[in-house]
This record gives sequence, C-alpha cells and structure tokens, in this order.
Amino acid sequence: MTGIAALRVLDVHKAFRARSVLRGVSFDVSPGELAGVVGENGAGKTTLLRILAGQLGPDRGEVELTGSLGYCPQHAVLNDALTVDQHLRLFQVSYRLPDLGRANELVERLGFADYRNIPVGVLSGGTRQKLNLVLALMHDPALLLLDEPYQGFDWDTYLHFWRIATELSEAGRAVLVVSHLAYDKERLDTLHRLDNGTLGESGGGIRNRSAVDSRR
Amino acid sequence: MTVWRTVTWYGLVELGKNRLAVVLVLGFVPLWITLAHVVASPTPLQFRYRATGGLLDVDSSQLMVIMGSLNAVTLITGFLMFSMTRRATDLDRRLVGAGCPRAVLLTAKLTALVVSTLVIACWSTSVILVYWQPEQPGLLCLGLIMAGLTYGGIGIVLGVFLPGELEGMFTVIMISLLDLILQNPLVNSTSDKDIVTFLPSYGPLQTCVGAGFTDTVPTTQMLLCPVWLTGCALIGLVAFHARTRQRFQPTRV
Repeated sequence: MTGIAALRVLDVHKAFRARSVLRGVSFDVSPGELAGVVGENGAGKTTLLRILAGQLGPDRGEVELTGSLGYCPQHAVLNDALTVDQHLRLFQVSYRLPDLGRANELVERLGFADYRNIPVGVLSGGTRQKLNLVLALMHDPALLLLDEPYQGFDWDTYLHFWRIATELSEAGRAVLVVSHLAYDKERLDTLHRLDNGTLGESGGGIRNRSAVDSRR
Repeated sequence: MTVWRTVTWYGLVELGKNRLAVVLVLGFVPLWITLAHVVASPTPLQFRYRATGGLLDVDSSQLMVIMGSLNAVTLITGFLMFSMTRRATDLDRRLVGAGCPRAVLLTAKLTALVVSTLVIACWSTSVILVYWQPEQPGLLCLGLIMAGLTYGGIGIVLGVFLPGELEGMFTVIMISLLDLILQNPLVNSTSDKDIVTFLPSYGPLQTCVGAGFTDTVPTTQMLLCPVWLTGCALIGLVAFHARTRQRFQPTRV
C-alpha cells in the first residue's frame, strides 16, 4: 500500500431534515486495500456510499478521491428495454473504452454470457445484479464502491465475486464493500462499523489470505 | 459523436419496445379518428380562426376529427416521453457518473421526441385522409407535429418531477382534456375567449383548422409551438441538470 489514499473521507455529516444520518464520518481507503463498512438496516450505509459516489452532497466535511471511480448501487440500475450487450455498449462509450475486453471477461466469469442478447427486464434478480456489478467494474477503476453487491447471487457467483474483489485489491485497486452483514470479515483488510451515524473500527488487518484461499 | 449516436439509438430502441405506445399508435389513433368522424353529426359550426380574426364556418364532424387526432397525438407523445424520462432517471445519473455528458442524454431524448412525433403525426394524417380531404394536408400534419412536440416537452418535464406512471398518465390526460375541451366550440360556447391563447394546443389547433378549412397559414399562432417546446426543454434541462449533478470531481494525482 502507498501513502496516498485512494479515498479520503473527512468529518462527513449528513441530515435529512431533523434526522441526522451521518455525524462526522472519517476514514481512508488506500490503493490495494479491501475495506468494508457494516451497519444495521437504516444505519446510513447507502447514504454514505451515495456521498462517496458524488450523487449526494454532504452537509459538512470532505471527500477526496484519487483516480477513476466505479460505483455499484444496491439495486440494479438498468434499462429494462435494453439487452445486456446494449448496456455494455452504452457504458463503453460513456467510459470511453476502446473495447469491451474487460467487460466480456467479467461476463464470462460471472456466468451470464448466454443472456447477452436478452432484454434485462426479463432476467432474474441475480443476473441483473451481475450486470449491475460488471457495469461498475468494466473500466477497471482505481476505487470501487460496492453497495450490498452480492444480493441475489448464488453460492458460486458469490465466491466468484470475492475472487474478483481480491484480485482487484492485489492489482492495487481500492475496494470498499458496504453490507449489513459482517459474514466476510476474514476477506477484508479493514472493517468499519457504522453505528448511530459514526464510524468505528471493528478490528483491523483481519484479512486472512490463506483462509480465503482455502474457501475458493 | 459516437456517444451521442449510441445513446440516441438506444433511446429509439427503447421507444420501439414500448408495447403500450405501439398499440396506442396502431389502435387508438385510427379508433379515435374513426369515432370522431362517425359519431359527430356533420352540422355547420363557427370557429374563431385568429389568423384572420374572423369566424370560420366549419363542418363539426371534420372539426371533431381534428380534435380527436390532436387528442390522440398529445396523449401518446406526452405519455411516451413522460415514461421514457421517468424510467431513465436513475440510469441517466449513473451514465453521467460514468462520464456521459448530460447534453448528450438530453439531446437524445429530444431526438426520440422528434422521431416519435413525426411517425405518429404522419400516421394520424394518413388516417384522417381516409375520411376527409383537408385543404392543406401538409400543414395539417405540421399542426399535429407541433402538438406532439409540445406535449412531448410537457411529458419530459412531468417525467422529471412526478414519481409514478399513474400520476404521469393521469396528469397528461387531464392537461390534454382541459386543453382541447376549452377550445372546442362543440362543447364550450365561449371557446373564442382570449384565455385559450395560453393553452398548449392553441397554436396546433389553429394550424390544423387553418389547414383543414382555409388556404392560409396562421404564422403567429404557429410560432407558439417553439415557445412551448423551448420553455419545457429549459425547465427539463434545469431539473435534469440538478438531478444528475455530480457533487464533486475526483482529484487526480
């Protein structure tokens, strides 16, 4: 890991009317770090991630980002009338990618290549979620923000997901996974717990790479 | 250019896959025009035609055909653009985050509006020609295009602000009904009051009536269409800009 953070969050506050959701959240994610944020339902995890993705402005505090960003929202954000391939093409031109090499590789690995020409409106929730993830990953971002990314995944796809996330961190990408469960803490370098609008460290340096490898 | 072409093409693909809209265009347009022609009795009626300032003697069944086609075109384009805009809000925000310029997304929607309006207006005009030969069929088609563009613009604005399909459909229907009923001398004896000049389909109706029964072109009234479209496009642009705004740009080292 280098000294320059891929993501730096400084004293971020956010309230919706009188309801204070985030009350001074601060943390860093370094290149190569696989970090997690867990918290109860309604703890403000999605609000935090939307602020980090630039979709929502904080009331106070700062977010600094170095390099390109990939954001995978909790619910699959897709156009039901378009096919998988049409989504890939749409995001290829938006990211200005010369080709779909990385996207094609991810589609193969996540096992939904057979559905490429099918409108996503008729796909299962799990397949939609896979496409949702590929759209966030296909430009190989320096920082990846994932909001409950494996909802609807079967076990094999879930394991594929963690393999991809681990490979990304080993390639120097910063990955932040937000979840309401702390199942996967042995897969993470850092785990933060979001509680009552503030962030606490829930154990550090917890990734046990050999344990993760043995579960592959 | 590639970005614009791709986004615009997929916008048109999405429109073509909107089965409800296709069924409405193929079924509702001929049905409405046919019923308007068959049900209304061919009695003489006076219509305030503001290009000349005088009262125009028109056939009420032919006026009903114009009213019916305007109603069909405005409902379909209004709902089509409402539906397209509302469904795309979250994906548009995501595409902007991925680097797609907002101007591209907005102009793609306007292109989809123009193309769909052209198709619906030409189809409606050809159905009208089955029953009646207006004085200026081309101008009649232009009047329907103006109505479609105006209501498509209204649909985009509603799509940015209203949360659900039901609310949007209801609002488009109510606006179109009020708009045309207030200007229809068959149901409103005071339809020649000046207040109707502020209604969205005032310009298109004057154009269609001029095309149907005269050899004149109501230039002033026609200019109201770009005013409506520009106004709606501006409101839509500002709202769209606010909704898809990225709060910060990543600092690069």
